[in-house]
Amino acid sequence: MPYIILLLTILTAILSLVSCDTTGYKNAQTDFKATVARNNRAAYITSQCYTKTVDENSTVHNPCYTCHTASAPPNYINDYALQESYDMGEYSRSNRFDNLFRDRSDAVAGISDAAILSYIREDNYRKDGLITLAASLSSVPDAWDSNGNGKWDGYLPDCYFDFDAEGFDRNPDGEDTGWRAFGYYPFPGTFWPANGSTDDVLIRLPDPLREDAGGNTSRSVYRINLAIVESLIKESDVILEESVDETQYGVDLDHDGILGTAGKIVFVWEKPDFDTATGKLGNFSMSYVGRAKELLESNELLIAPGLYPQGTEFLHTVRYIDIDETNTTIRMAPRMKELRYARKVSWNSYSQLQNAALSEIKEKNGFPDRLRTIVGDTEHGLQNGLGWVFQGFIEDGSGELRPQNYEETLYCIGCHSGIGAIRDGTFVFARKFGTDHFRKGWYHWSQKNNGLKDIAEPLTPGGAYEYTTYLQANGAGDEFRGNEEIMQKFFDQEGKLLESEAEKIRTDISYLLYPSVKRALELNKAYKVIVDEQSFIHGRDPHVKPLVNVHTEVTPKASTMIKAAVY
Amino acid sequence: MRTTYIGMGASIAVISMIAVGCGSSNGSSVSNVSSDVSFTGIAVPEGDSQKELRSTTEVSVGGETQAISFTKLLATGDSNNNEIFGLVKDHHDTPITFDDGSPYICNGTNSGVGSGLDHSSILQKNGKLYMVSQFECQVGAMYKVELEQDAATGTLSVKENSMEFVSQKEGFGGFVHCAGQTTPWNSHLGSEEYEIDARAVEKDINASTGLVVSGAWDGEEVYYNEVAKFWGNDATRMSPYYYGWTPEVTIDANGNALYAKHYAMGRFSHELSFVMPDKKTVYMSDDGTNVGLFMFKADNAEELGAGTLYAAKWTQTSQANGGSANISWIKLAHATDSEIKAILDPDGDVETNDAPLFSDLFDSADGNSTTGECPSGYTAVNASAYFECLKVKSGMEQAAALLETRRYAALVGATTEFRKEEGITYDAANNKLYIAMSEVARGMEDHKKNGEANSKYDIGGNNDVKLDYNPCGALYALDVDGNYTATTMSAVLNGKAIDEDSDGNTCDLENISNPDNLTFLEGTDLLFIGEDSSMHKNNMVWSYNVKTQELTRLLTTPLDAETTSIFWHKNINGYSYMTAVTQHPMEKVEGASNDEKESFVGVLGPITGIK
Repeated sequence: MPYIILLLTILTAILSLVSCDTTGYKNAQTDFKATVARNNRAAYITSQCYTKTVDENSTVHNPCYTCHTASAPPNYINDYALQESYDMGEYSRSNRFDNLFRDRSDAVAGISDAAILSYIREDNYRKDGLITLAASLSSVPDAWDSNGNGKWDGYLPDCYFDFDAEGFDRNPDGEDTGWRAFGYYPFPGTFWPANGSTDDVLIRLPDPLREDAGGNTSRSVYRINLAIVESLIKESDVILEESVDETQYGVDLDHDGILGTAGKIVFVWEKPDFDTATGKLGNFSMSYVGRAKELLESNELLIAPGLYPQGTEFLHTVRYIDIDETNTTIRMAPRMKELRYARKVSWNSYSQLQNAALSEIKEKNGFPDRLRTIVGDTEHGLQNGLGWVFQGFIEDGSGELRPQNYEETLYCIGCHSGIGAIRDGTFVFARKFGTDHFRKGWYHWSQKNNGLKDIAEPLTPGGAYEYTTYLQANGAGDEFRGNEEIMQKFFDQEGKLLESEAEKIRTDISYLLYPSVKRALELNKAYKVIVDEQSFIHGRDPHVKPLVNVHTEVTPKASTMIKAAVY
Repeated sequence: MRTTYIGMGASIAVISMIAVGCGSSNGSSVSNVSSDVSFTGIAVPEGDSQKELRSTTEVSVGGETQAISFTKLLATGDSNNNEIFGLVKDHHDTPITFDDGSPYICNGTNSGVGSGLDHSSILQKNGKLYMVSQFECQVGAMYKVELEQDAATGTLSVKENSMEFVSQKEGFGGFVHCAGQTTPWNSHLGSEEYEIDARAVEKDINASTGLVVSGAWDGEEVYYNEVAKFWGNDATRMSPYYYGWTPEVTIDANGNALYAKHYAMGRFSHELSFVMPDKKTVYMSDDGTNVGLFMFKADNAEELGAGTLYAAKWTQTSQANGGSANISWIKLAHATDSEIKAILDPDGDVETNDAPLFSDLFDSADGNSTTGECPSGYTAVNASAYFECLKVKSGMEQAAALLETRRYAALVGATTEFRKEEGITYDAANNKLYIAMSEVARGMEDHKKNGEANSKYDIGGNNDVKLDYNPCGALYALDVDGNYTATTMSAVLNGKAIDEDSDGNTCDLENISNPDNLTFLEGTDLLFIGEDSSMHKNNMVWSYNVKTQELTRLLTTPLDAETTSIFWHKNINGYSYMTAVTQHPMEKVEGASNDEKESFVGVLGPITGIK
């Protein structure tokens, strides 16, 4: 970041500090060196966890099940019972996300449609083909250099969001960056565009999974390994993008007993052999291909259902909601609200993951009021304790991306560890579109003109329509029951789901997941107010009116009146 | 109280550790002469040093400075003699593996979350040195190795091809092994913590699977169900009464490990059993909420398989400064291991589950949860933080006293209001027993929880303990009489809560926070206190001079890490060592190898010249 911009940023920060004094907000931007949360030490318990589950008519709403659910190994959290009570402690009983209760009507009214559209259409990630944030980090400002060593030790953004027809990202020289975009079914609730943001997710496997046995970069190897990882995460067969000559790779991908031509990865998992004398695993029923195959045989890499190989990375951008040229529907905005990065830095076996889950139970039993210790800082990101590091970048007061401080990142950790819904710390790769989708499921949302339109509603493992199930269980389209547009569209006066409307989701999920143009603009403006305030630690949920279906305080262990359900 | 420290230079050795001393209760003669021993303290870590294990590097003995180093002996996952340190085995002593093929090594994640190695004892037998280590998983494990000592330098190392798994299959397997002691007769006295509530199991069990129904305890049922892995995933073979006891490992004349589970010492959440110099009296801490304090008097010295079990009664004499009380002891029962084993396993075959149920021992009834009153014939108790109305079934007194020790203690009027009792140690020169109380809270308050009105922890109980809330915990000293029986109990060091500082500390950095393990260095005035706290950002190990009340910070652990089971071995062929387990010491240090990140047991020392 040029010094002039830095100075402006600091000036903005100071100004926002001053302006925030009246609302009691501390300036988050000065906190980059903190390794503890200043405002909310329990920030990993998200704002949604304080939702009022019972309304004024004594109707019970259950948005909780999406995160807190019965989980299969290697997710040993299995926390579906959390649906039934507010399992907070003495400290976390207070909801410190006080932005939820703010009325932003005046501030939003002060932002014109033209102004917000101009703002969100500005790319704050790339300028003239260069990644501006990477440039800023490369000459790291002192304020972000938490260990003071004069260099940025965290993730240096290296994705150009320049995708080819297979979803592979390329740098300005036309070389693969390793990042690959994929389409997926958005997770129910807060991540729907209707509730505030558009977003995308990209995956990158480590070098050995992108290289042939000779160590040469190979897209063919990479495509196969991505399918193998997809099969392991989904624990199901995956159709390959193109047929594979197994003899080239020495792996029976389709488990037909011979090395021939494979059209799919067949998921067959048998417990590998463990040799006590050598401490090594062998006789794997599934294997990566290319150089990673050799590393698996030497146990330098490992493989297991439900787990990504060590070194896997994800990028997740959260963006404003743009309006298309016809002014009738929405699309992903160029401006990023957040750039989120995750890297699996260590492999943890089932045994270790089980141990961690049981230890959490023991700790909670011994010290029910003790908060989780999450280690990390602005520069290195925060560790989720299960092998992943998470790091985020968020808009500063002038709309440029800056690193998130400790507390802002702590907010991410609660969902990316410690809940039953995730697969190895992640949400949507398990929800990735199959090969039968547009471009075989490998594309960036920006590459498909009609976005989420014409995509059929996904099913739950039990065979029910997933989004309809959510609407029925929650009686609303968001955790706070604050999305009145969905309420009015999908529910009658008594709060009963209109089957005629739900029917429309069957073939087109955008009917539910997209906001109207009017609402999209409001959501953008409401969030812009938070950016102006830099008050992310007080809650990032974009709403104009104060949310009413959320507790300021809960009684620890109080019942939610929900009868836990697993769909 | 004063705190001393010196600033640490920039080049602090990451792996160097603790502190001082001498003395142990390992059978050496008791000296009443204090050595002139002092350790150099260290400062509170800041910045990147919060990620590191840091410790003092020198000790002064008799005016001469000795450099101290911490020697890693054995790390979780190390291979030796075709055994893997920490590998958990089943009822056939076969290694347990998970579906991904991974061995059930009792260890946390590579990010330092989880439980694992907890305590190691160094035993001097047959002219050799042995080390017995225990692991804190739901299916417990113990391993024995031989140690070699360099006679010239005192340096200890693990002998090649000496590791052996210590089978516990004759005792239904091990369970959550916590702290331990090297007894005065050089045996390893272990522990099984967090005993499972047999009443709850009986209520929520699926009879056909033997598992507690999923969700019945808000997820905590997995803590019990996990034990099924020991039984080849057949939970019908297990009983909650199999776990919550005190195991002992002795080394015979041929160097073999002999394992015994001392059912005679009672069943509760054993943090630590600590044998006194008479080799008969054992104090036993109970880790949990609304727990008791127990004493065992063995019939014969060095034989813990038969004796009389007692529970403490706290008669408060002062509420001030963490409180004071007279302690009396209520006899629960006399028992032998074989008597109780016969109750647990009538057919003498551990492979079949013929253990009694809770309802075989007690009748229970619903009481008035507002008044704490019970129907006629039933006695109100509040043990483990809930109110019950109980009556012992006729003829089941001994079984109830031994299998349900805490409940039975409450029934006969003992105090079950302590909160997270942890370490125990003894200062022989001054006849003082020390017990760490992690928090002064809940049952220890007067109808309060964390300072606010709440009767959950006192309703139906005695409300013997009525103290002010202290979230930082306290250290208690107990006077003992000529029979090593404790007569009084008073707080001598109280943690001090503070407003949260910029690093997130909420207990005074110049004082203890949630004290855990204790060890006394005989021949000095130094008591060592390890913390298990979230209220200090970095856990600390302190030396506390019992005469001058001086606290010296000797070690700080990395964030989210703990140093457990500190224990002084005063005289191993003339050298003194303190054993300690450090959990994931290098996890947060960039560039550390996977091996360096593993939890390990090591010794601080050697130190010479401790009298």
